[in-house]
Amino acid sequence: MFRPAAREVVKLPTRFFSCKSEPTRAAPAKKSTRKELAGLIPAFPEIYPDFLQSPVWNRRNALKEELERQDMLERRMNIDIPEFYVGSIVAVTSSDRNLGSKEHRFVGICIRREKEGLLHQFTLRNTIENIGVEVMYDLYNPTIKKIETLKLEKRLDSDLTYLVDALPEYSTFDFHMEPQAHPAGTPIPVNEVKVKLKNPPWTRRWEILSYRGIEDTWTQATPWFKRKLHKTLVNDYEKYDLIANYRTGSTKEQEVFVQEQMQKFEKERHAAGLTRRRILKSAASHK
Amino acid sequence: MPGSKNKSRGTLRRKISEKCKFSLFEMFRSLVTSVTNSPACEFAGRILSANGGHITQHRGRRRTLTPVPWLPPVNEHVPKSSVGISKVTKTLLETVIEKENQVASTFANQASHQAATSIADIPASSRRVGLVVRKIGMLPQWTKEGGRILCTILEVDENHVVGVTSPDSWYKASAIGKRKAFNRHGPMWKVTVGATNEDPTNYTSAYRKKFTRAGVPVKETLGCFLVTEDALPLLGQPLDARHFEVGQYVTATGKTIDWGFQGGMHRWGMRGQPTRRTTKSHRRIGSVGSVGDARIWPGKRMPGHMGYEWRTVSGLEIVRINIDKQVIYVKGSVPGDMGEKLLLKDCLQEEKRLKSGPMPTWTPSLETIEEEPESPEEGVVPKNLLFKETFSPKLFRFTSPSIVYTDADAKKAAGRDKTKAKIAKVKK
Amino acid sequence: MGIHRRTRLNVVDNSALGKEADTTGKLPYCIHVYKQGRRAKHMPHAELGDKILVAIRGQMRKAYVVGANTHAHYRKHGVPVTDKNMIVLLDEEGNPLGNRITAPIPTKLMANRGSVQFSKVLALANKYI
Repeated sequence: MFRPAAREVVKLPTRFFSCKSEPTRAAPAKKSTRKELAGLIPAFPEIYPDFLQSPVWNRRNALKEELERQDMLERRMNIDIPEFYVGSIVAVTSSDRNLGSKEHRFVGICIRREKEGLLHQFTLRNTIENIGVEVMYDLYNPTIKKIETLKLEKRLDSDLTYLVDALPEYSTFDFHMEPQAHPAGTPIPVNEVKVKLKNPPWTRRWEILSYRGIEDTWTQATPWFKRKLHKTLVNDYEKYDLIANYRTGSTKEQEVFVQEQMQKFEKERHAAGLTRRRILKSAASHK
Repeated sequence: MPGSKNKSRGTLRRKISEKCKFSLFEMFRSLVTSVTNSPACEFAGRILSANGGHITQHRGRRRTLTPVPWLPPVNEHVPKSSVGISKVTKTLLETVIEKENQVASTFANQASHQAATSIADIPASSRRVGLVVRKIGMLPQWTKEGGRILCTILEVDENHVVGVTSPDSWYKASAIGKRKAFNRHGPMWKVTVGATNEDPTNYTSAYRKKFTRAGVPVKETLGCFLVTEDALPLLGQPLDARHFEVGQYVTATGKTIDWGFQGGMHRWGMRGQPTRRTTKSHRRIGSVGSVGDARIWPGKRMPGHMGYEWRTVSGLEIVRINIDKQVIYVKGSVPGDMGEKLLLKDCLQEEKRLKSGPMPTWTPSLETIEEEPESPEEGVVPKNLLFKETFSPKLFRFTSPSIVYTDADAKKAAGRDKTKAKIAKVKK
Repeated sequence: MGIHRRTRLNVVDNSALGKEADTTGKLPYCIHVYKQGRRAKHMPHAELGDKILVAIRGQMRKAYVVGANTHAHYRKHGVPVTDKNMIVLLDEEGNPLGNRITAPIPTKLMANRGSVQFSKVLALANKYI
């Protein structure tokens, strides 16, 4: 019974749909418009997944997003939230009620980034004394004091949940690790390491999920499962789906709009002389 | 068996006739106990449904999917292509509508300025108007202690009072008025509130007439509230989000999410049937009754239309109000999907009741102008960059720095050992 | 997910019983959760800091949960989740069976330090996550 009111007419996305099999043919090279030159970030959805719209169509509401964005930007003015990706090594310093005035610091590899807006959360994973530990943080939780990116890199997958079943050396990181600076203007390095899994049983059937960062799961898989299902990847047909992200994905217009709003917010705050902190920035692009 | 059935029913009848002098409630209770105590329990439903003079089993309709036939239609279905309106006529029509709206809004403004309002004590007997709001999403907010609150945000979209009906005329006019105008809380006025301005060309003249009478633009949604005479707003008066206060508790009423026709597993949480040794029945409900009875009991849970029913959630706390955008942040969840309209009114639970507030409703005359300090403090965001908002004192403000705990907080978090206290008590 | 009946657990204290269970590879498992529940049939799931009854090497022992593997949907901000469910065994009096905890435990457990029994467990921990 949902009927959008006349005011909030839903804008249909008009975007080039890239054909995954032949990307060059399907998506013609776009001319760089004047807008793109004005400090907008091409990799905006990867760097700022929390500023995207909800993938659920009827949860998109311009007013709600505006209010939410206001809160998020206010928070970003008070705490520096750096650029990090799934696969980056991140340190989070937060205040803990149980520790009193002491700080709580956790270092680990970011294995997941989920949800949009103020709900956005990320999970860090590390191995401490041979025990795998994962900590989920709400990005906008006010108890977080500091977020540092110790090593800025990407992995082959956008979800590293499989590290639970990988050998512990793949998720072991030193708590006293020195932060590695990323030279500005260079592209984000992709760590093409292929993870070796422990022997099954696994938490999920990694051999039928199309993860690129796992080394040869099929030989390791339990014979019982091999007998049941031959080597077919789940959702393998999705590569033929040209409009898979038509409804769930973000649109270029929205991305540009949000970036402009962020720039406007930054400019206002800088003019008020409160802070020089910049919100919209990217390590890969120049300046 | 038939003999025993008749016998038990006969004893029941006798019991009922004996107790007729008692109140209805007493009788009902005795009937229920006699039914449950008697060996032939399976007739319980039959006896309750057999109308014994007073007792009828009322099952309210869960939802009405078609508009009532006796009311005039609301939407004007004019096929746009067939109507030969020239461009000139169209622009003329648009200007006329615009002018009408302007006149209506000025009229409404005047109405709000005429209205006498004050922040006054609200007696327990009085009922204020509510607002018609739209649910636009859910967000987390945090408290100053670091706790997370999941809030629903509700937009108050151009609310105006569209109709005020006195209890007498309401009683005469409608069957609902017969039931509600003079209830146990005293005579109640019916106040109709409209929300969201709409294009009047989409509506019939019968529908538009209501709004011309009130002097407000045509609204998309109407909602009715029962209001006592001391809290009566003026006809055509605009309603503001500040009608409610931060920290106040409210009641939200609306239609739940419309799921359409759903199976027993989704609608009633039934178990379904096994995967193995079952064919084509994995999600079916299974048996619906016994053989001997050869019928299905009324009220048996079955597949059917799920949702789109009126539901009320009361005792929701308002934690934040955005005055510029007319948005209310309410702690907790409310019925319905995103974009659905709800009725929001004061919570009537005694401990959560509003003790004092803007008495018929909020008007611009109540606005207090806060004095701007001459030299703004260092590090404080100037007010012109922020929305005009009111916050609950316990809520974390995103403009403030991160939360830092002290050792005293840690001690408080640990709490008291309950087992220890118990032992101490015993020793005394 | 969560710890309920038949969930396998890892003992992380240095008690002889726990070590024996570890070396033989026969892990202890939960048989009861000491927690208020809706119905006895629907046993509540144990979380961090809850007391449970475990079956270990043919004996029944009470134990505290000091590390839990929680489903991604039920995780809370800043509460560490371990890959294995970790427990500390208790003796009949409710005192810890070992005298050291060999694994780091979440700081969330420090909220229970008001309880006499649990503070004894916390006293054995040498590292918090």
